[in-house]
Amino acid sequence: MFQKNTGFRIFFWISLILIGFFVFFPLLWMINTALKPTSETFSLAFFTGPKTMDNITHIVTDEKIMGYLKNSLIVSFASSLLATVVCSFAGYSFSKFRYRGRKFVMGMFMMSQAFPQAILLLSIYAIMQKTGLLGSYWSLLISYVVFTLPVGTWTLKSYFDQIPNALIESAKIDGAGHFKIMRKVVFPLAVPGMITIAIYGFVWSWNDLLYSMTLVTDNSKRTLASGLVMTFLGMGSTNWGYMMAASIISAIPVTIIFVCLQRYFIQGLTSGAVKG
Amino acid sequence: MKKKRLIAAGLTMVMLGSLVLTGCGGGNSSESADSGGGDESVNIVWAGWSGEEEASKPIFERMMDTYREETGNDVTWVGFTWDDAAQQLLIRAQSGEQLDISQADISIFNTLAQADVLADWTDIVGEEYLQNFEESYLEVGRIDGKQLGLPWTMAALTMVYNPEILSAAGWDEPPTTIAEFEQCMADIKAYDPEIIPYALSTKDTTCGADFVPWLWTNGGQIWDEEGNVTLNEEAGVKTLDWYKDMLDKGYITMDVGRSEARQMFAQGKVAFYDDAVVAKSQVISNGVDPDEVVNVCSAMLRPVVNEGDDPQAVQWGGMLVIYKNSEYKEEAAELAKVLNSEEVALDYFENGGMPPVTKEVAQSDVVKNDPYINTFIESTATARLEETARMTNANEIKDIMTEEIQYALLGQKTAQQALDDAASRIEAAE
Amino acid sequence: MKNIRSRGLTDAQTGVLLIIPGLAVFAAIILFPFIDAIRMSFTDKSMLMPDYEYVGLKNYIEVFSDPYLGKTILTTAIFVILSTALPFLLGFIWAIILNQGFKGAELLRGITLVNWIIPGVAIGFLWSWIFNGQYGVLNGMLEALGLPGDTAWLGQTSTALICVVIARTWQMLPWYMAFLLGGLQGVELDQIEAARIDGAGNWKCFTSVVLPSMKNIISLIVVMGIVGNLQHFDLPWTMVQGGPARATTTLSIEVYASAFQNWDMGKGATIGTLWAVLLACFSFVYLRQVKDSD
Repeated sequence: MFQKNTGFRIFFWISLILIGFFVFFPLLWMINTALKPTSETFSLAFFTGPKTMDNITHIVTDEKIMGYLKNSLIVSFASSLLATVVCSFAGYSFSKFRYRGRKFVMGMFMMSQAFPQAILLLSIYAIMQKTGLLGSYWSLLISYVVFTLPVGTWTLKSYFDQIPNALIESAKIDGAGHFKIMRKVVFPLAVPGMITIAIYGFVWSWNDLLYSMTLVTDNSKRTLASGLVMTFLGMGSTNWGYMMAASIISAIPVTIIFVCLQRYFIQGLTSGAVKG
Repeated sequence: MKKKRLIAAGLTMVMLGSLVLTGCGGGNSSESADSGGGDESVNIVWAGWSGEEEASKPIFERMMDTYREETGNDVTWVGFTWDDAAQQLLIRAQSGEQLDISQADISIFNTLAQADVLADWTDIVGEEYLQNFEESYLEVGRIDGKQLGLPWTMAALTMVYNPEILSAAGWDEPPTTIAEFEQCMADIKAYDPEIIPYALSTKDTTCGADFVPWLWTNGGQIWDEEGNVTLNEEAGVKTLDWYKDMLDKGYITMDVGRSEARQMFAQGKVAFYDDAVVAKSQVISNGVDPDEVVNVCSAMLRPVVNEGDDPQAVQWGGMLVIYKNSEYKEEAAELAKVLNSEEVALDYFENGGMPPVTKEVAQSDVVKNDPYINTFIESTATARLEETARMTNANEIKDIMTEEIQYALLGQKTAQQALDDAASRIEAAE
Repeated sequence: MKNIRSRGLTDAQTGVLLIIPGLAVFAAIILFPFIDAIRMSFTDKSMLMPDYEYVGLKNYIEVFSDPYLGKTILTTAIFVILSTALPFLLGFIWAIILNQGFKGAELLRGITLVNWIIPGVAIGFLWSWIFNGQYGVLNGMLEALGLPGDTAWLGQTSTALICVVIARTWQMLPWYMAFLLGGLQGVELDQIEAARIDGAGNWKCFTSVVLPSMKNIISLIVVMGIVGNLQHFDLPWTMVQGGPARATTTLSIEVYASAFQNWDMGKGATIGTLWAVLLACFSFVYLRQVKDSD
């Protein structure tokens, strides 16, 4: 894309080194700390001092942490799936159908991004309590859709907008019904967009601290973010080695998924729908 | 016709959805009911934070084993960190999930009591059992004549120092007056500039809370007897100016809260800081032999302005509380009795540093001859409840104080301005 | 079976049917709580007490008479602008670098995404350790280089917010990178060739071909970024609890502290409502602009 002249080369190498350092050094520091014995935690040795697998083994064999990891995976997968389905339907509806109230509902969806989640939580908490869902996976799963619904619907709407109406019309002429068109024609074209939204929803659920700390108080249902806070970061119980080991280990499964999906994900973004 | 079908389809979807949801929720609640529903043996839920901390985990396991053996009931531990405990306990108590008994320190106790989720111990264990405790301890857990908290481990929050550092700097005894204290910090700074002489809390709510005993030392109070804010009077300004002076001289630093102070103290990088008896456990989990803890971690009385003044300390206490909504109050009370029994209490004392509270156990030789605990107990004699300890918005008041103290320390306001602002904000918050 | 039934629906009916699940979720977890929160802002509801009373505008008066309100809004604005702009800029450069297709670029791209997956709380604690004044990694490195290493980065108002922004940048850079990389790969190379033939250099190509063709994706991620940063709470909270001296107190910290630290739900809801009004104005302006450009 760019000519590899001297100016570009300088830009390339300086950026590669500086940003590379910024991005990877803290990550390496985490691994470095995870491999240090507790007594060495605060030494500034960078992979040079004594090493131990104690922290890693401690975390891997800790049933509670592994349970948090499992809960996080379940909740994040399920909620991102739910959000993607809901957003796809809604986005398609906004994009290709005309009915009374459409503009109004669209505006509401957009505006809802504006409201602070911490405040929504106050009422969501009360609703979950009344419906008896408090403390269950469901309470988290449903609330996490909050994170994705507005952005997701709008993003997918813009994907569907790019699909020419002629395509749908010709399918109709062939005698296909609305749902067949959706299944066979429209949705396959929007798969990259759906993956984008699924990942967006997944990571937001994965990262959430606020909701998981409030809607779930039982160890057996707790997700990773709040689990880590509750386990390692108290006034009297900070253990950096465990903390760092847990962060790294918990990132591994999702990283693998991402590395496998990244080509699809990133190339998906190029497939025409979001291009100008 | 078509419209009807459409509506029907929509309704079916909504209904299906809600069925799935309620089905799931119902499944969960029946599960927990099953586990606690038996006639003979019940499973109580005990919540708190200490059992979550690496240092005391094994002790808590032993406590629960003892309970299981002695009563035949089962107990499940639900843990969080101290920082989140108030919020988590409150949420759990209001959510209808099973919660029978928990530990609570003074500030958490206050929150729970204000939320009206606690049961009165007198109704559960009777007056007679309460006679086992010192009146002053019971007092801490009593609000409006109701005994909402049962003493478990009581001691004042005072100051802790590292005798090794002090003696290296030429001090064989800890300082007793503020003048001596300043001299001592200067000596430590001269001895090793890497060491922070005093890890005074300068952030989070612990900053506002730790300001109070120094305010008392200088003869001030947040409120006078009539409830007027007196924080911004002479004593307050003097205290804050002294803070600023210590910061300028490098005796204290910014960005230190209780947890940083503990960590650095345990690593021998701090000479003094404020803490309760738990100070010891971090040092032990950092690898120091329990028998030698006093060489690097000893308690001292807070320095006073003039020799002979009462050293100030904040009353601190670990209590046990039973929840109003608990179905197993009797069984939970059994746990409390086990925890306060001689064997268990001494185990917690010897391995966790927590001083026992029943008259009988507190008088035992093991406790009386322990050098670490004695100063804590001594400082309890003149300890007072921290001024916000019984207020609904205690956190808010401490946050306001922390913010304004920081403004003064960072030189953005004078001590007088900062405390005037604090005073007017506290008045507005009431 | 499905086909037969659905063929019977008109377009409008199908559209409505499709929107039902979204609308149901929306009503239950956004709209109702939203209205409920506005109602709550007129009460003295506290987490400590089940009973509450309507107190009229008392909360609003209290919030508006808070001398720090302006400062909090300003801090929020600075935080949102910086922590959107910085990771966007660095993420863009990083995307350009990784788009060069050198050996190992794909691997670097994969590892870069890790930052984004590590739970925010862990990132907060990692960076608060890096910036710690006493045993921090940054100060340790400065000292090793012979520079003064005793700055309490998180302990002074001039640097605390920047430190939080840096941590946020580290967390979000991969996200911007991923989208921008996608955008870059969608740029049509023959357009660039055409520009080159006209004698355009790298910079000219970038500004006149690459940027315009990525307009949509850029505006999408900037809006998503702004919204995310406004809501953002984990890092300023775990790193500095909104301090020192309120230097990092953003609106979302203020809402959280009021409702979940000081148990004052009424006040939290009031700040939240004001925030929504502010943002609604912003979105309105934004929406109009989007419409105009269409």
